[in-house]
Amino acid sequence: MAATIHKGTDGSVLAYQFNFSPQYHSEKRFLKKNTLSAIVEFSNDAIISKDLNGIITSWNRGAQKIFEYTEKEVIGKHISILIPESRLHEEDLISNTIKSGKSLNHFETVRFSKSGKKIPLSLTVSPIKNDFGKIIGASKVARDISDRVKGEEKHARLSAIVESSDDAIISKDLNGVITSWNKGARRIFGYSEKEVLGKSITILIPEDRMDEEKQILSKIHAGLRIDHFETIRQTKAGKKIPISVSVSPLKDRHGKIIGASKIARNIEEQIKSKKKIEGYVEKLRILNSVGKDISTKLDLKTVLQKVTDATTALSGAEFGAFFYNSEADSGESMMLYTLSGAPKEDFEKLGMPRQIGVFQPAFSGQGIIRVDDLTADKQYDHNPPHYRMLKRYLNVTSYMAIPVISTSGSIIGGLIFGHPEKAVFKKEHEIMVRNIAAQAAIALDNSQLFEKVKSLSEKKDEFIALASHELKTPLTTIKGYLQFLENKIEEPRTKLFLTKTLDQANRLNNLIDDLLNMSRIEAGKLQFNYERFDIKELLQEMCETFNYTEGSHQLISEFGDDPVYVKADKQRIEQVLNNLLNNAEKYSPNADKIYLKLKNDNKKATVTVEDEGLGLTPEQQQMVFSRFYRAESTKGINGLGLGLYLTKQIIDSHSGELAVKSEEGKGSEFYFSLPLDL
Amino acid sequence: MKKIFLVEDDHGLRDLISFLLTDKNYDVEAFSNATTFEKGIENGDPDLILMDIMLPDGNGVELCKNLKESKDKKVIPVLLMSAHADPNIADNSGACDFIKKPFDIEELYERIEKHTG
Repeated sequence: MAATIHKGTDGSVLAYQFNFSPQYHSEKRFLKKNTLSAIVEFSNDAIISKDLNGIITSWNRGAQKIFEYTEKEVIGKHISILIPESRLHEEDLISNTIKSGKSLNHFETVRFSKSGKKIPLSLTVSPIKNDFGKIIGASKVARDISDRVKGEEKHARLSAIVESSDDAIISKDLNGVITSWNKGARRIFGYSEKEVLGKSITILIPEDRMDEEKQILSKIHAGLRIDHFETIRQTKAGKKIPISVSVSPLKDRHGKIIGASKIARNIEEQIKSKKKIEGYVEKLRILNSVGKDISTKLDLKTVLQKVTDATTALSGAEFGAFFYNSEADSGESMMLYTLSGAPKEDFEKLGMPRQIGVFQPAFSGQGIIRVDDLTADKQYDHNPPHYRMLKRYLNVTSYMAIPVISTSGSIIGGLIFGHPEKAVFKKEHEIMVRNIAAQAAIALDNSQLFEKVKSLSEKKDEFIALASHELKTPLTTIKGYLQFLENKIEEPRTKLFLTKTLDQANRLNNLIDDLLNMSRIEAGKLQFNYERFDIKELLQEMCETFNYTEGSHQLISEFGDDPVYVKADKQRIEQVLNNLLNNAEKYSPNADKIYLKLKNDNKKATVTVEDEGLGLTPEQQQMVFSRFYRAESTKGINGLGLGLYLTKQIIDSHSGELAVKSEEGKGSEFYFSLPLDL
Repeated sequence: MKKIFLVEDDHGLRDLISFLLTDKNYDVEAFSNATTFEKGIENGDPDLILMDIMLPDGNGVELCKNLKESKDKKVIPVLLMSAHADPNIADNSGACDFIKKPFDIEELYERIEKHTG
């Protein structure tokens, strides 16, 4: 062999070693030399020879291609023109190796091209000996390994990405056996690579979700991807965690599916934030609804309870209480409270909340208190009963108290909140509760006014009931004596005067009744005694009485033949009819007829009272059922303006209808209907 | 002659009713309050008791209930009267009747006659 050929793993020639030995025939030597020269000349690798001083002595085409210098440019130059300054020491290593007769194989380094480009190379350097075996120089075969280096770098980059990813990146074969496992997978699932390689992916799957793996594998077999599938997996410690997983088929270079890559992300935090957002939405909803509730409700207790419930929920407190400064009828100040999340008994053990150190600043309006750990904060521990008691009965560690101050600046009360854990109440809770407290203050101002008005109104009703009773007692005596005299006396003028006086006494009695009924209707306390009766019979009786009593008007009736049954308070319906008939008489001073009609349409009974009197303008018709309303044109006609108001209230309470048709100057037609009692 | 116990705190009305009933030949014994009535009824045996409900020291409804629970007085008819606005005030009292103030004297005569006849 004239030359030793060093081959790489892929079979390419890496180096040629020439041995010039004296045993070769000179002719053969010549032929071989030519052949070898051709091989050298056309190699893609750079094949360079240099002498022992490093001076370049030969330069093939491959060298020209890699280093961009022509043979002419470099022959006779020192090899160091190719070597970066930082690597000049390598040349010493190489030349020492050569001088000792050894070769240097596949030494990977970097050299410069003519244009200054850095070229990664694999060098094989061998000594060149003369015919006497003396080393006279070195041959250098340099291969450009840029592509390989790039590939390696890319691979390294990808590996680094996979390794440093927070997501778990796992590959598995088509049987679900794990074939790779990154650090992210270790972080999320707790298994090391060593523990899981070769194991089935099902170690990560909770028992109740085993079916999922079958479905995933069948999709992978079909070449499909699965994107962002949200599910639950379990860690080595058995903890169940929510993950979002994307699975893609892995193909070999022929496009055959050989497995799957799986990227799983722990979405615990994501779910937490989602829950947090949902929490905020819920808070907004509570805020919104409490605002609406307290601005529309006037009842004090209801407002207090709504505010307590809402603020307790919003602050995340275990319990909340609203202490409300109130004044008893006697003028003594007292305290009401509403609770949320704690039983009343626990609070009762605390005695007067006003005197409790931690409560006090809120009630005296000193300001907001927010304490992360009440047990460590001694400044609220001056007055007994102190925090230890709170701790004992209510288990309070986190504590927040917010005064509720009215628009006029007076302290309405205070909201207090507690939680057994430390540092539950944050600035945001404080702001939220403070805002509601401000709204509540307005609502409570209104509700205080409302309570006052309500109590005044109740007092008025009580007074009217008492007054009516007191007025009726002497009226009974007056009526009694008058009736006795009316029966005894024969002299016509005196008798007439007595009758007229009695009429007025009865009128007085009716007025008292109207006043009383009005106050009862206002208070919703007017009682009805419902019974089934024939309204036609009632109308007939009233008609007879009306026409029997000597008066200015004649009542003309039109009732039909059959009885008409309704379920109603007979006395009240009689009162309604009396009101309407008296009005018809009163407001038609120049007429002499009143019409009373009854109609039955199989659903309701309609009674009409028609007069030929003054009539009403459209505006008056609108107002005529209002309390204390009296039409302008009725001046000189007596009345309180209560009759039609009461009539309307009575008919409304019977689920009936009362209305009027009228034309000014031509008379009025009042009619009411009652449902039939079939 | 029928005997009537009248219980009425209002002086004017007590006089009127006493007069009206005496005029109709009833033997009237009048009481101005619950205490004197309770004393009087112990030894008395009227044919009817005409009693106001709102008394200064008691309530006619309660007095009537007590009578109805007693052994020997429960048979005496009680006619309650009141100027009170509640029409159901005498319900469940055990009274034989109720008359609303102000009343017509004819109505009073009629009711008394009915329950003593």
